[in-house]
Amino acid sequence: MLKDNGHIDKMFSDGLKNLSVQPRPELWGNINASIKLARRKKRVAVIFISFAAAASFALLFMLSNNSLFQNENEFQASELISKLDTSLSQPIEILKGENLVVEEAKNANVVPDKNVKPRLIKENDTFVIGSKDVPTRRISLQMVLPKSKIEVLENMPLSMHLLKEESEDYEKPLSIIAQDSLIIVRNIRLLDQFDNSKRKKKEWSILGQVSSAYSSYKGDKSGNNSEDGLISIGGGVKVNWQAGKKLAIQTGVIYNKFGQQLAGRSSDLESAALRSDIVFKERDEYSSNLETSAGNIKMKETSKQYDPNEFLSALVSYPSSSSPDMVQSFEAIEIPFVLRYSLMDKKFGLHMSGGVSTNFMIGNRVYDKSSRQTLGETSGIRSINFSTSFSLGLEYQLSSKFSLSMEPALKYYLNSINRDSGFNYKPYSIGLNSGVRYKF
Amino acid sequence: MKDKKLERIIRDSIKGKPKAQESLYVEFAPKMMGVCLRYAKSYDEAEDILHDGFIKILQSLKSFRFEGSFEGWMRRVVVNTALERFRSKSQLHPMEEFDDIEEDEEIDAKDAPLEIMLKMVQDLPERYRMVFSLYVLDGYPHNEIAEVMRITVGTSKSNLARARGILKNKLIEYWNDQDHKSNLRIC
Repeated sequence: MLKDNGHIDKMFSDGLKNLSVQPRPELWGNINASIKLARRKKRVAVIFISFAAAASFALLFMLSNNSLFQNENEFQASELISKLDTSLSQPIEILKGENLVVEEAKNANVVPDKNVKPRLIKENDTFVIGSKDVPTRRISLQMVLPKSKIEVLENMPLSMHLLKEESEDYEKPLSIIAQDSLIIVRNIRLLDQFDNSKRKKKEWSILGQVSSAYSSYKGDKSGNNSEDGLISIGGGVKVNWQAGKKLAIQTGVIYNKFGQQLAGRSSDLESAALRSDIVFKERDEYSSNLETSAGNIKMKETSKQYDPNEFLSALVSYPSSSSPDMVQSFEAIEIPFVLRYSLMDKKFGLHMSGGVSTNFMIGNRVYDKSSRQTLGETSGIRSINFSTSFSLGLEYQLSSKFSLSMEPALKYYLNSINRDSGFNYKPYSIGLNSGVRYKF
Repeated sequence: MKDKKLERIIRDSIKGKPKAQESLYVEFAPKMMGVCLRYAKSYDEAEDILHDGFIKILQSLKSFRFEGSFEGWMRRVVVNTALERFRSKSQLHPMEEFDDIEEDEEIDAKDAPLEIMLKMVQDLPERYRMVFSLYVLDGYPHNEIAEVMRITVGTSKSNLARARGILKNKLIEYWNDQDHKSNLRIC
């Protein structure tokens, strides 16, 4: 009976409880798109929050640093003012021990005239000493201080304090004026020393870095060998001098290796070995020439016994292959001169560097890739070569002294490293320099 | 779907694997659509609820503890989505008041096709539909309904009674109509 509520409930429940209806097929596409959009938004939000946090952190760091610096200044100024007050309350004899300061005071020609009751009057940038009875005598601050120091003085809380104290109508004996000048000189010197020491702290840093690079070359390809680039590891130490707020100069000593991998040499070697012009020199070394883009390779007989048959069999034993089996490597000590321009100098730093380097060749070797046995060397290699480099670096400041750096770099030789005009071999390398910087 | 397979699909879906998420959808979307249809006024609205509900399901899969029925958990998420929708709508459009339903005389119950019953439920005033679906079809007690719908227990009971009354009248009307049609055919 429908009067029974339970019956209505059961009727609808039985029918609709397990209702299953297929939604339109495009609904999943909409859901999927919404999920992807939400995920993208979430990612953007995460990135934004990370950047905002980093920026806030950097801002906080800057502000705290700035306030610390201000506090230091305030502290220093208040300390100087208290010293000044002490000095003013003490007789002038106390200052006599400070020969340098007294000397400067003498140079300033601020000598009290006992017959005249002096008055200190400030007119623009000039202090006027005079009285109603005698003609006024103008003593410019420039008589006491260099111009640059006057500018510093004028911008200082201390100078404000002094100027306030020495207001127009404030009468003081001339001895006190001289005393004040001495104190000003002394204070400015202290501030200069402080500034210098502070600047020096930031000026120098040392950077130890390891680099991995892929080297290849730009030039005329010659020789029958298949040549591939070479991946190598180098490293060294750089000294960084902060020339300006953004500009720094770097130099140092860096070891690096470059070259190429050669393949398919066996047939060349075999033919070279079988040629009649193979000459086994007594005691010394080179047996045949093999041409590559970097120059002719002079094969070296490693055995002390110069047995032509043994050498020939050794050469022939290398299978003919198109995969690289021989490495033509060069090692150099690089002395760079790099200008580094800072694009961002926060917790995360971004900078770009460019410069030229002198490369002293210290290694020239051709060796077997698998056994690393030296087979010879490339002839005609210059001992000094010049290169240029460019890099874009990231730096993360770990502390006030240490920072981590990572910079993708491109290096390109400006000259052919082979002095033989028949070869135009200008290697370049693309690599990643990473290291640690220590600020003094 | 076997439990282990389902668990693997859920875990892959949590990792954000699109294929797993699609499998989950293919498996459960029809059932969830059935739930949505009971809370919606139309098919389009039901699809909207399913759309929002499934996004919520996929985004909150991490909170599923692999205890109890996954389908039950999904149903709850979908019902909550429908309730959220109802709440946001009821803020914009306050509930209309309906006159008390008079009790009709007793009548013998007969069957009605599924789509007719669904249409009857969908045609109920929104609040009645929600209370009826929650209480009768999804087994929520009145105190819980009162909580999720932000009404009193008394209102929930009253709404249920009114929903039943409306449905009963509609069923009688339907049966009468059917009887009349069959009588015409006999003649």
